[in-house]
Amino acid sequence: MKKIISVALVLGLSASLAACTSTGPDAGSGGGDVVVVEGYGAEYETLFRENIAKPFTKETGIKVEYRGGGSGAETYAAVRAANGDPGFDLGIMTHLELEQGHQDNLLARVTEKQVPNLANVPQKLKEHTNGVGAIQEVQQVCLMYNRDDFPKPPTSWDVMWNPKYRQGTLIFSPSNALGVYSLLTLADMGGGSSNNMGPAFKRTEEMAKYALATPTSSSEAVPFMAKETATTFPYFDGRAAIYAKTNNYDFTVPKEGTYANLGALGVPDGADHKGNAFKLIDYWLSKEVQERWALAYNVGPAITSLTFPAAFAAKHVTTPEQLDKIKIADASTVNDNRNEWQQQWQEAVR
Amino acid sequence: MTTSLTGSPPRVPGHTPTRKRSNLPLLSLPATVWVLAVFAVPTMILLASSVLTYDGAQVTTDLTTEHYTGLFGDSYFRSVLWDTIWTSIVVGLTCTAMGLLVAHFLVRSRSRLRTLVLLIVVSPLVSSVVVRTYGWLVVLQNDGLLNTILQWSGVTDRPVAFIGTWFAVIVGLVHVLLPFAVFTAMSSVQSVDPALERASRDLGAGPVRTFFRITLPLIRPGLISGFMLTFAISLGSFAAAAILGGGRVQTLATLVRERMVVSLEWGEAAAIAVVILVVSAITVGALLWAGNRSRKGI
Repeated sequence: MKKIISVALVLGLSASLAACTSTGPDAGSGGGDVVVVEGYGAEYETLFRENIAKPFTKETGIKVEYRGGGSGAETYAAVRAANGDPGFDLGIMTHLELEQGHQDNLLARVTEKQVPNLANVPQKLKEHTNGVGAIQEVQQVCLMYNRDDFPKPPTSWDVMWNPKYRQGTLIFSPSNALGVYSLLTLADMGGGSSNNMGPAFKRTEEMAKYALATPTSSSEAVPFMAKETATTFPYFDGRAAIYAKTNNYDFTVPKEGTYANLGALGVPDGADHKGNAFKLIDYWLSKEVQERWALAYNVGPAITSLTFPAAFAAKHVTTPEQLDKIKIADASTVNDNRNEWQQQWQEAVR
Repeated sequence: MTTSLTGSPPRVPGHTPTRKRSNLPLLSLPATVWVLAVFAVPTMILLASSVLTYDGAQVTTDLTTEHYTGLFGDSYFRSVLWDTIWTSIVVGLTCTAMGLLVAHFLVRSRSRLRTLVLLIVVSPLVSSVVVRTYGWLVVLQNDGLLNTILQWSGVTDRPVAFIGTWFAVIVGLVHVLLPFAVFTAMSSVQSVDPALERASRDLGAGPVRTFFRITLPLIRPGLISGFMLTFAISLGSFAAAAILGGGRVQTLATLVRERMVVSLEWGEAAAIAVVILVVSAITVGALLWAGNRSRKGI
């Protein structure tokens, strides 16, 4: 009897271990008809489930498993740590991570053969994928402002240095993409560039004496809006539009222009359900879904041939002209210098 | 029949008992495997990671010291290292001093408040470090409780920026680590015979003199342990610096995160983690050595 129990225990344990470790196409989670997606949490996750995952499953029968987590950098760090097999099939990140994935050879190539709707994406966006992913949305860095402080939208980034408003401004850390683009904007304003960031740190140091806070993520700005202690600060237009509806804030793009944060989809090279991941990218890049996603998340679509309500089009990058005007940071330069910028920023805000 | 009080079998004259083979090595096997798997192997991997060469995402077996030379050649890293060390010393000393006061009260007092104080000391341990640290964010921010009190009492007419300062990080760390210091000190205070303190008082020494001449030397090992524990945890703690530091405060732990996730320089991240380990080990070793010397009266 004891022998039988022992054998049963060993068999049971082996079966459990096999179930836990198997990642093959037929393993668990609906077998081969599944795609595991790793992306942002909070409202992004809710919107993704409603606008992408559910209708995609309805149309294709492929189940979407979404893991809402941290930043794009964290998602790519997982890809690298697992040497291209992180246990998910599609990572939601930015073009900065695609560049790193291209360098590391850890992301699968994405071509028009696998993703036919890639043909709809403008060349300017395709250039920033290195062929190892797809851009699915364009967010621009805008200037968020309190409506009470500014009955008319401010017209320059300079307003943040104005003694009247500087104590309510926020300086984002370059450990977050928003901080990187804010620094690049400051460099441009001071006559510098990504190769000459001196003016950016000088301006940061000047502002740091007065700033309300130095957030490391965009979500950290939310309490300052809820309490209306923030006056004006840089923000991504997706979130900005959400809080413009729920708080006493609005957003605008100043005359100096701004940078775009390119939302990107990458498929880890060792993903188990690559085919399904490509299908999901193709679905996301279809005209109908691009329009739906842009309106839901308040961002510019990755294709510019769509028609949007005038009020929406005025606030987001939707036309070829707007796309042409917006600045896109060279991912390679940013990745190579980010460490150095982070250190200089840290010293500037101390 | 006679039985031995010690439990050992009675000796039979002229008969030499055969020695039973000890099962001790076999019994210690699970613990040894556990220690190796949970502590030794990860530490070895960490040490190896800090001296291996990274070619992009690929690790090669070529050994290098460049991660260390790169770090120590960087004035920024040196300043972060120094900031982290002095902060941990301040946190360790504050926790030890406060822990001793609380422990002394809990062990020696007959006050009804003892249970309440014990509950207050234990209660933070049931919630996560992150939640407790966010609690301090609410207290210390510009329109938080502390600033409201300061402005209401007329100490200051505008909010004081606590968040993003070392002060906020130290306050958060002390709160998180204080229970460890209290419990370590409690066991030491408990081991001191109150009769010794009474004898000192009977011989004319005041409470302060009794404490410094009698109690303190006897509880010193407990205080050293408390300091070592809080110092070492503080050295590698992440949440307080990340949340209360507000992006402005950089410690070794936040630097590891940045090197791991943002710049993907894992060799340097591993080297920083090793530096934390080494600083911790040196401090513990030095305190143990000092403790032994003082015990021997050298």
